[in-house]
Amino acid sequence: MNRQALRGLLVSVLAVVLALAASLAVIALTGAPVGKAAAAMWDGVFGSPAQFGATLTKFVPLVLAAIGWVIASRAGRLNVGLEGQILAGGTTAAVVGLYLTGLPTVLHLTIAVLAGAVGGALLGGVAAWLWARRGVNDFIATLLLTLIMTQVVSWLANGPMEEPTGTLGQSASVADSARWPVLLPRTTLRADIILVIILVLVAAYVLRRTVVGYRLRLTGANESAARATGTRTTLVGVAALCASAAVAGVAGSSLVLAAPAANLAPGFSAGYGFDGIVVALLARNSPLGCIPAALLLAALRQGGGLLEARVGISSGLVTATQAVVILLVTGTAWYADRRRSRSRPPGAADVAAPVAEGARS
Amino acid sequence: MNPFDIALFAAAIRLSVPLLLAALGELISERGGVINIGLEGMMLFGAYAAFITAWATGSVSLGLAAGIALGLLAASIMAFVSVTLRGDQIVVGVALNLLAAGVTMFLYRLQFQGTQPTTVRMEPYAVPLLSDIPGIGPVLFDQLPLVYVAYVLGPIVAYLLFRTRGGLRVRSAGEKPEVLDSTGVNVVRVQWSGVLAAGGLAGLAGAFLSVGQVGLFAENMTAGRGFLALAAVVFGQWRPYGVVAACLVFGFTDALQLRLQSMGELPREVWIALVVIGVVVAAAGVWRARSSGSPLRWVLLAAVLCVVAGGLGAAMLPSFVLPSQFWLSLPYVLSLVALAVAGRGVRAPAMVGRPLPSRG
Amino acid sequence: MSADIPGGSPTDSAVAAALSVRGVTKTYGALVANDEVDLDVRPGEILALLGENGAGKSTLVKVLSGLVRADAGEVVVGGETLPPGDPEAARAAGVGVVHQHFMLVPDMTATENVALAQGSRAGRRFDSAGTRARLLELSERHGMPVRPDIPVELLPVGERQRIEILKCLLGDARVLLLDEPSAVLSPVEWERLAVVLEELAAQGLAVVLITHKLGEIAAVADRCTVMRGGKVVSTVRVGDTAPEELARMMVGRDVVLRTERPVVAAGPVVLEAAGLTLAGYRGDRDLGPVDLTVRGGEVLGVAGVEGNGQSELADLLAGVRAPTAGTVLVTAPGGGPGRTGVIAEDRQADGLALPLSVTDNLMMRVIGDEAFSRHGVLRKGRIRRHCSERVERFGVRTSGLETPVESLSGGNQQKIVLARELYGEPDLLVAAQPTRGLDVGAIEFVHAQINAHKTAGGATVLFSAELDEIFALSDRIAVMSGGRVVAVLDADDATRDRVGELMTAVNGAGEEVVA
Repeated sequence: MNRQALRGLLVSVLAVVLALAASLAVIALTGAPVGKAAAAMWDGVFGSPAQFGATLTKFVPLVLAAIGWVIASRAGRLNVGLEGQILAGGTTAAVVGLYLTGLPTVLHLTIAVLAGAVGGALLGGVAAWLWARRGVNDFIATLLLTLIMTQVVSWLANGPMEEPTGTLGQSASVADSARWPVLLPRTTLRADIILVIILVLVAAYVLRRTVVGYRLRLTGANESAARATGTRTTLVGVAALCASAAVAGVAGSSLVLAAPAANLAPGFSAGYGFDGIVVALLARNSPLGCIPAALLLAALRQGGGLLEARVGISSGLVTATQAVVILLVTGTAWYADRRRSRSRPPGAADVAAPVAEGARS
Repeated sequence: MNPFDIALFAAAIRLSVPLLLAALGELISERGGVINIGLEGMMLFGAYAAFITAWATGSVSLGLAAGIALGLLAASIMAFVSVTLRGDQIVVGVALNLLAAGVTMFLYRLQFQGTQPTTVRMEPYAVPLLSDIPGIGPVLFDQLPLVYVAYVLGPIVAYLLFRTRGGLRVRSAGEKPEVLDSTGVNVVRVQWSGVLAAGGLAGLAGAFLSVGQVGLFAENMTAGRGFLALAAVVFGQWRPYGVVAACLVFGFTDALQLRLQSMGELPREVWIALVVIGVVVAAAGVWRARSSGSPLRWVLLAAVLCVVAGGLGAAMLPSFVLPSQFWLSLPYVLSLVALAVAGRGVRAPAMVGRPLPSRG
Repeated sequence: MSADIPGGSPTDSAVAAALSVRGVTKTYGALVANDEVDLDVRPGEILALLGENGAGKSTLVKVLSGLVRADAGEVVVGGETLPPGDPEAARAAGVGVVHQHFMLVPDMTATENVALAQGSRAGRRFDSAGTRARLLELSERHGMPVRPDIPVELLPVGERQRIEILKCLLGDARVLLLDEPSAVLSPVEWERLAVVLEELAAQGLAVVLITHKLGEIAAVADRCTVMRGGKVVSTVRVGDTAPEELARMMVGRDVVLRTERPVVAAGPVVLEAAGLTLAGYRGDRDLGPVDLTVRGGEVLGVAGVEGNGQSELADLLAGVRAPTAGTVLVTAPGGGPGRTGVIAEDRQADGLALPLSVTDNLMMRVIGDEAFSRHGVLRKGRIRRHCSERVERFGVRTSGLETPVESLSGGNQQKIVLARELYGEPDLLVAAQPTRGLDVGAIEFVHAQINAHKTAGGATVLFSAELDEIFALSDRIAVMSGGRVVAVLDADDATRDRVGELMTAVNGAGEEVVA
């Protein structure tokens, strides 16, 4: 690991430690017993197999959304609409799960998950089209599409896809053949986590060791040079947005096909798309780094729940803690990114520049 | 039954006001080159601060002041991290939304333990004489005082941006900050002021929601209005009067949506209105095509679709109910379509979403 | 006139000078950009500041305008020492700068841009009508027509430059610095500007003309200060000094480059460009139609005043931009489509991905080749061997293959471009300003590489703003003016005078349209 990566890691770890310390201090200020609160957090995550399983369940969409962010940002695109793509993917997965019945389990589940990826990619594709063909900012397009998708899901769950009684405002459960099998008995953890780990590894491999990964990196670093040397950068940007959205779509499919209720309900994305950005940021855009970062955020989400039940501290504190982590990490990015970038003279003045300049870095 | 009555327009104005306040602030910020995804959070902070202050002191004006103050504080965080430290604007905005949702929920639950107390709220003020004008008087001039503030805010922002030196600087910071640098103006300070304007106004918009309209606070009570204000800036194509119009359209859609929910199928007047909209869009498109040479194809297509659909609907009165979600997503769809149709001619200020270059 | 007091004591000239610079030193890391620079300009005089790219002119301009704080030395304007690093104070003291890259906000009108430059002392509200009236009045008085109400991004570049100058005059400039003003102008526009500058000087303004073009100096300047390697070499009277003498002072070596032009028997036609056209390459002017033929073993030099279509032609030949009409045909000697290597004019913007590693930058073109990836998977071992070989062969000084190229010097960055683009012996090399901003050693290296490519039978199109370079390397010279190739000369018959004449000739196609 080089010095820069080490700095990045240091920044992330320090940010988390600081934010956690600050929230413990806040808990102490409210007069609640800090020890009990910390214990509640701990129990919330590790207290029982069920709790730990629940943590890992939350890990799944978080790490996928983060990978989605990493893929797009490698190519220099800002996919702020992961949340909407999760909704889109979950919706298409639910449609397949509900209405395409009579298939054997493996096949049905496979198709449903693929449908999730396609659904996400379609929404990402709309944003990509707007960006590539109509010159719309990628972050404005993806954000607006998310807001639209939120309404679409709410409409579907309350309208065309509502369960037969028509009173609950959500769809019926998908067919059993489209549900992920339980991985740990008596927990919510299902086998999708295996797929997810594989996906993360594949993403890491593709980004690092393949031509596609190279072209994403190159386009993100200097689009103009990439284009001049034969990379089709618009295509790369579109592909990155679509791939990013497809991964978010898979996250959406898990939120439906691996959930206890296994149905489509309004707002089922629950902010995972936005939290995924936090994860990617903490991981400093490293795909493998997303795994520990997502585990940490999943633990915060999960532990926060018990905090409220046991000591009456609302889970809002956990949300705020995440925000502080982001602010600390973003605010110190200049420190982590600091290379030997001493200020350069104006113009390309290299007259007396020492020839061995590079030799010291 | 005609849905287009006075109550509808009064509601439209009331619903437009928080959008107007927040969107015009955001306009200043974006013209200065900083996009503030955290607008929603700033509004929420404002709503909370206004409520809790009004609850504690019994004073509406103190509440409003507190709303502005907390909005400014949140904006300072935004400006410090994204402008001074050159952090990613988008990411900081996301963080602010989380921060506001988390902090307000935490504090509110901590204090009220699941109860939902109410507090004083702003009283309508009927402008003498003006409110007596038949028809529009009660709609426009028998409103909450903040509404009157919103009326004049559009012209004020337009004046500030285009007729004052500060406005020139803000626009320069958003398009080409090195020009400011070369004249010795501190670009960081200029962008800070834009972000602060957005924060203060967003705080006020939030305060309007809590102590202005209902006199209570609810978790996540902004319910996406910050994003709607962001969309209004886009739909208004980064121009003050465009943004005002966008907010009015969005507010009107919202009011109509609420009204129609109680009415079942669409009345004939709505279909006729669609025809009128089609004609107006076509006229506006032609006018713009002649003045600035922007392409006409898509605009005309949309206009024709509106007219045809409206005409058919008015003639046949089909019995279907448009879901509320249709109306709720309409502003975002309109914004996206407007951006897509306007093409590359209309774009966000060049620096939006990008950090300032650091000066050697 | 101050010409009566040649060689007065420093104190005298400091009093008489509108602007005087004393011992300004500015270093960036190990690079001394300005080394004890002294300079005087008197009211009513046009002083040329002459120097090659990288001589320290731009740094000096930034120091004078307050954008950069000097490490040592002082700047005195009208008898007052300027506070360092304060652009507003510099402007208030009367220093007006017309930067090479205009400091205008593109979506604002001329009036707004002028008002923006007036600083905080002019009050909060800006008087739009008043500013507009004063702008028009000045524009009238100095014969510099501008349209005040149109966003400047819609105006031609010559008009934008006039707005910049008027902006300085409205700010009561006593000293006007122009950084390479002719770079964006046609010869006719430049002549008109020269007249305006002479008039301004006659009215008592001190004008500093920063340039590396000798012809301009002879035409308008009274005195000339020559800079080289961050130092002032000498200040001379233009009338008393031969241009060759100025050139020698500027480059610090004999103008004739040492590189011998190898003679290679011309091979088959490699590049054939027919009817190349690019609509609206500058405003409403079209580029071309351009027809060019280049054979293997031949270097075609393209000369021209910057902004006459060379950059665009280079892009078309390199395939970076698609022509509106016409074709570019590159043929390998054995028949079949040939390969093109490109040295981009702005290597940092278009040639390299600065944050990425040396390896990543060397692989841009060939990453998809069977040799370096199979089924889309990178073959790390082969890539590493390949890159080590390239780095060694081209003598790139780097601490390792994973070093980001942004930490390399300009010369080493250009070597990476060459190592990449010359790999696999391309049939055609399009080299745009290949030695811009490089030191002498690196320049010689680049020239040697181009000659080696030629000797190996490759065809080359060389674009350069340096006539010396064109003459040193080219077998034939194409001269561009107004977006067209106005002549193609045989290098043996061509003279500098002839080429210079052709470059600056107004061709019938309406060079003046820019204005």
